Amino acid sequence: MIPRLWVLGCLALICSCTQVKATDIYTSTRQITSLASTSDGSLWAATRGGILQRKPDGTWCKFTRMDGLPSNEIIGITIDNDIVTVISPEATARFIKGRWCVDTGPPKQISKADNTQTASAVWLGRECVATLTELRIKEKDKWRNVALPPGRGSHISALLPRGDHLWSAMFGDGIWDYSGKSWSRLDIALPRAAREITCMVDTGSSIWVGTRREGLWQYVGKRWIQALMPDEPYDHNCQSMITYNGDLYVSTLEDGLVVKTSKGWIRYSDTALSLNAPRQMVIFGNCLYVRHGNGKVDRFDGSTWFRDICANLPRKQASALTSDGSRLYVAQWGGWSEFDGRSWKHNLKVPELQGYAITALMPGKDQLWIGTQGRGLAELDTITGKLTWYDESNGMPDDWIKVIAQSGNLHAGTFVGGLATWNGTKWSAAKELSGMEITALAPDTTGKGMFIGTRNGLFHMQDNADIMPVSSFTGSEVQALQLTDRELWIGTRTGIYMMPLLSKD
Amino acid sequence: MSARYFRSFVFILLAILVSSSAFSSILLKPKGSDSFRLLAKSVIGNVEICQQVATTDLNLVFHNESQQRMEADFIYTVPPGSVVTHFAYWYGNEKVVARVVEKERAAQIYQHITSRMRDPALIELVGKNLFRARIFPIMPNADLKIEIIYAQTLQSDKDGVTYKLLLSDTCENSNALSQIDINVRIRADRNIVGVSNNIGIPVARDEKGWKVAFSGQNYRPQKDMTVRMKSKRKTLRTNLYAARSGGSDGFFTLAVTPDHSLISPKIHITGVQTYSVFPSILPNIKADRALVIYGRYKGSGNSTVTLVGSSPDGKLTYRDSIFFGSKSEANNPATKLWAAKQIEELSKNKKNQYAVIKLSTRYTIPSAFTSWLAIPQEERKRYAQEMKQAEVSVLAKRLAYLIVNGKEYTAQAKAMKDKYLSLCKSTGRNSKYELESSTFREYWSLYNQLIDMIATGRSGSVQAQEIERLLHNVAKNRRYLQSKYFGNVLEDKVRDVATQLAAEQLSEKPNAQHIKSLQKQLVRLDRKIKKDTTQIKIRAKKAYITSQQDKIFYQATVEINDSRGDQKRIDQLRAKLRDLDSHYQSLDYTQAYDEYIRNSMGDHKRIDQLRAKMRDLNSHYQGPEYAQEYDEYFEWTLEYDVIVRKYQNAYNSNSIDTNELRKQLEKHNKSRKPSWEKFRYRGGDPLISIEAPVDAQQVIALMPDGEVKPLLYNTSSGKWEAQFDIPAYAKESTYTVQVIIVLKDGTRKVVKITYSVDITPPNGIASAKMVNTDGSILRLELEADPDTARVAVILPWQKRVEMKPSDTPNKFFTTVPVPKDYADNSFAVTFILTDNAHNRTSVTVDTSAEKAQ
Repeated sequence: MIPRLWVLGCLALICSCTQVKATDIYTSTRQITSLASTSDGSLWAATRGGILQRKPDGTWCKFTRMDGLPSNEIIGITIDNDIVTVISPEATARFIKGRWCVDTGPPKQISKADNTQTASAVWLGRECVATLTELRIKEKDKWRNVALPPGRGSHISALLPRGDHLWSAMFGDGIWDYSGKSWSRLDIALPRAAREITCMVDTGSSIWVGTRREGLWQYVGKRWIQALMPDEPYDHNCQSMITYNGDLYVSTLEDGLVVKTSKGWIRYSDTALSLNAPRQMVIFGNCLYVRHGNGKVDRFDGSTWFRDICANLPRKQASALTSDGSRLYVAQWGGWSEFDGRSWKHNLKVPELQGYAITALMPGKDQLWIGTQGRGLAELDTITGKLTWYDESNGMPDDWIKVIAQSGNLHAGTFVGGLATWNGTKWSAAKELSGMEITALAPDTTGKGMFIGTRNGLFHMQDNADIMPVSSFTGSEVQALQLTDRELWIGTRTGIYMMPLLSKD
Repeated sequence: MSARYFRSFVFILLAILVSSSAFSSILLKPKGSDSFRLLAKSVIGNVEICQQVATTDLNLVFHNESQQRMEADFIYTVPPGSVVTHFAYWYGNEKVVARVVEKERAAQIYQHITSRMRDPALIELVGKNLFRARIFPIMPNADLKIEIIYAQTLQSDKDGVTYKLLLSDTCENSNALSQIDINVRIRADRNIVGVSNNIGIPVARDEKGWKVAFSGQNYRPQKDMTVRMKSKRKTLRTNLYAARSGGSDGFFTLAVTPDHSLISPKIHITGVQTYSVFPSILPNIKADRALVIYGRYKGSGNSTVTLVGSSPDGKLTYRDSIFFGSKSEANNPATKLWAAKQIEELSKNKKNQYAVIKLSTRYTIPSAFTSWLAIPQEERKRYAQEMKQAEVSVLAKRLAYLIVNGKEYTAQAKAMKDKYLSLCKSTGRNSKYELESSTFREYWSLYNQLIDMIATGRSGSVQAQEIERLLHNVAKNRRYLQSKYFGNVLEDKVRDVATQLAAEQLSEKPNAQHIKSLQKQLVRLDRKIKKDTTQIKIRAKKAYITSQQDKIFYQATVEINDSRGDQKRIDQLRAKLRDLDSHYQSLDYTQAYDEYIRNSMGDHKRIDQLRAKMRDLNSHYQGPEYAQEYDEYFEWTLEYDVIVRKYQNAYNSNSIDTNELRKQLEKHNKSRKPSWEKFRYRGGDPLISIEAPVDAQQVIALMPDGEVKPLLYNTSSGKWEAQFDIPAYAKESTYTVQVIIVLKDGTRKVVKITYSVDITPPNGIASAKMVNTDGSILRLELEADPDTARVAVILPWQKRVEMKPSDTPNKFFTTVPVPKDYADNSFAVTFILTDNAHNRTSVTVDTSAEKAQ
């Protein structure tokens, strides 16, 4: 039997203690942005999901925000006097005595001649710069332009001097060797998965290649070995989350669905889905429905995926999904359709809704709440058919509704106006969230509290009134929330976090 | 012992075939082009040698040290003449034993199960001695345990028989097996005078025979293990393995080794009746090399084997006595070896497929037509349940067919229904719902057949009448089949035929006969439907035209916006568009447009009227968003065309400076782009969408932060696309994305596109004036920043009004009636300005201030 949770206590803890720390973080270190090595032979890899350090004994260390990094998203790494400096979009940090020290002031800029520069290196004392269309080598104050090698590679994405030869990674193709006069493809059996190269480094004992999505590859003893970190999702740019059949389904920006199962993370890509850009998920009739960025909806019955199941809807593209258990609601341009498991009922001719994009739906007992982009929130009385608009004239802070949830009162998250709450007679905007974009709402089991995800961080509302930030997530771009009996899952742009809730037992 | 690991993997199958010439070798390679190492952790082998027949039972544990879950091919080459008789792998704690299944069915089941990320193993015979076990999934950092048993007849020479177990080839330089345990048991044999081995292990002897055993940890095999069984020198050495396997008749393997080479040898066995002996034609024998025959026998007891053949010394005859035992040994190696030979013989002719499958299933030996399939129990149950559920659907469909065809009360239907209900019960499926749905579908299909017949003028045929009768009878007592659910079928058919007609009429080479036939169909359907279908037909035609317009419009847009666009092609597309427009509305519109373009001073009023009409029509048929987008785009291209025309005229006549017009063009391009080319970065899904050939080798986008995004070809839009997001920390600016297109011929093309991050709210100056002296009408005006998209006004009586854009750029206005309660008082009015990026500002003005002015 699942123990009842001491939610109130937990929430109190979260609200009062600003040092609450999520115990688990899941990021993907498959996307390598930069590589460097220190004199002790350690390899350092900057990734979009943290920093990886491979110690000389072959063991790996992973650092994330939880370990003091300013962000999980690291876009550059430099070594100066054996001090590792990492660059995130918003700050710079140095690794000193086993700890990350975040520098005050603006982040260090990655040096680049201009925005057409894709890689650079110093080879045989000469400055080499790769641009979108050529390789430029500085010889006696003059630049010599070298045409790119043939093949399917789009551009030079990394350069690695190797004695009197210069290795150049052609993105999507492989590694080419430049002798100073001509190009030749390196005969090193680079696996296909390792051809989207973003960076390269020679640590002395072996060559390491960083890729766009396939992590790190080591070239040693004429063989390529892939180094992927265990228990990581394929991607972490979380757009929405849901638990289905005991597994956590996370939709990503452009890499399909990643699922946390009891056996580990798995992934569904566009071989199963209509698109690799799932945006919203809902469960209806024991099936999981997934809406994609292009408006297509897929259904998963636990074993099989059925693609584009709403292709025959009158207005084709779904803009939101929801379910009240007995019906699936599919929002479309200017209306919505309802599916009871057998047949569809279309509500696309409500005159007041024509011309508006429907962004959110929430069925109530005798009403349907309809969020729009540009006209505020509508309440449709499902018995009389009467539609009432709520907008700035009723106290709504914005007319673009992003998300609707019920937790004691009805709450509507908006695009630039924060959170609006309906007490039955009027709307009021939460001052603490003024001007923020609300991305997700997760009512807790108290019936009066709610977690609020915003692009500025995570907040918690208690007793339908007090809103406090959850300090561990200040500044995080929270994009999805999923509350289960035991934990709160927080999906951000740069990582997936699991915050355990305290159990009464 | 020094540490070393046992590892083997080879990249291509060819290499496997070449390298594994004589002995078994184990190769594990994950499916796909890129290989990973699977290290062998331990080997446990039990070998039983009786006469000249050996049975090897190997337990192998591999370790997947990669961080990827994978599907692996376990490729195993057995020694020539060997037969793999058993395969199993461990799924958790469950030992999953492979069963023989017909090849196609095995592949289907495997596909079905793996598509759900489950755990079966498929074992196939891919070469004469080559087996492939496809295992899925092998979890990251986990062990894979496999058991394989094979039987073989051992090779002999003049001094005896040798058994060899491959160990060294499968081991690499620096790692060791964490565990090795080998036991070789040789049964007592009158011919054997001594047993030895090549790795110096003591040989134990007891009354049952000989035993060679060794075990170790962290063991690195230096060489293969060979066990030598020395025999007495004889002119003819015979080794017979004969045993029953449950039935009355037995199986035998007989190896005869003469001391001379023989041509056209023949073997006769007397004393015991033998049959089904392979090979039927014996090959020539070399001196001191064994010839092995496999067969069946009846009875038991002593018998004599006679070997006759020609040698350089003349005809030679050898005799030896052998003993056929009566003992029964289930699944003994002689049985398997005989069955394998029988399968091999039969498989030479494809006609014997059925017989081969039968033998293969009976003796559990895979063949060219069968595979082994190992499915964990849990998955077997689930699969069985799913098969049952699939059967429910099939039965429901069959039953529905019988119902709709008036055979509901036949014995066949009754039996089927009983089975169906019982299956529904066991699978928990809703029998009523399934059957009703299937019946509905069958009814629907028949109904559509009837409508097709009506449309094509066959409504009076016997078949149509029969269908009508069936439909009537079946719908009588079934509410869900009543006509109200089918009311739109006829209308759908009208729509369908009308669309076909429009397509034919508007095609480049209309087929008059087809048009006539479709028109006739519509007349017949009209007669049946008994209502005016004019609107349905018009809508169908317009929908078709609109879809074609969209397509051409899109092509034209691409051409127009491509700096190297083909003017001839653009003209063709415009002509097509005009042609379609004329069908859609009237020629007036097109003429006015052309006139306007030609003279740059056409009838504005007329164009505006037509534009409004077009907006209404688009709004009605396609929705307001489409209408607005179309209208915006129309306006943009119209202005563009006018400027281009002026520019061309100026250029041709050299009359005025063209620089100003060029600037105007550039400004126009920047000022407003067709809405479907905009980046809606705060509303929908930001998307990079690029027109490039479908056969381009690669298209990538280099994002402002250096991230590379490969674009994928979207078959629906015909463009290369990639999603992107804009982080909250992005500063307000215009950003450049550089797209590189690698064409089929290797040419690279760079395209730059931009997007802007705008977080500055718009601003404006507002006014609120009473325009009626009695205070009943309030005129609201606002002059806003150029990027202001819309303005709403919040009035104190809780009313929200959208302001209209005025003819003067950046100005908005509206008038509102004022309720009596407010007419005599001053009050505050709030204007909310929203720009294209949904930045918002509110401006509040008081009507009292306006009054004071």
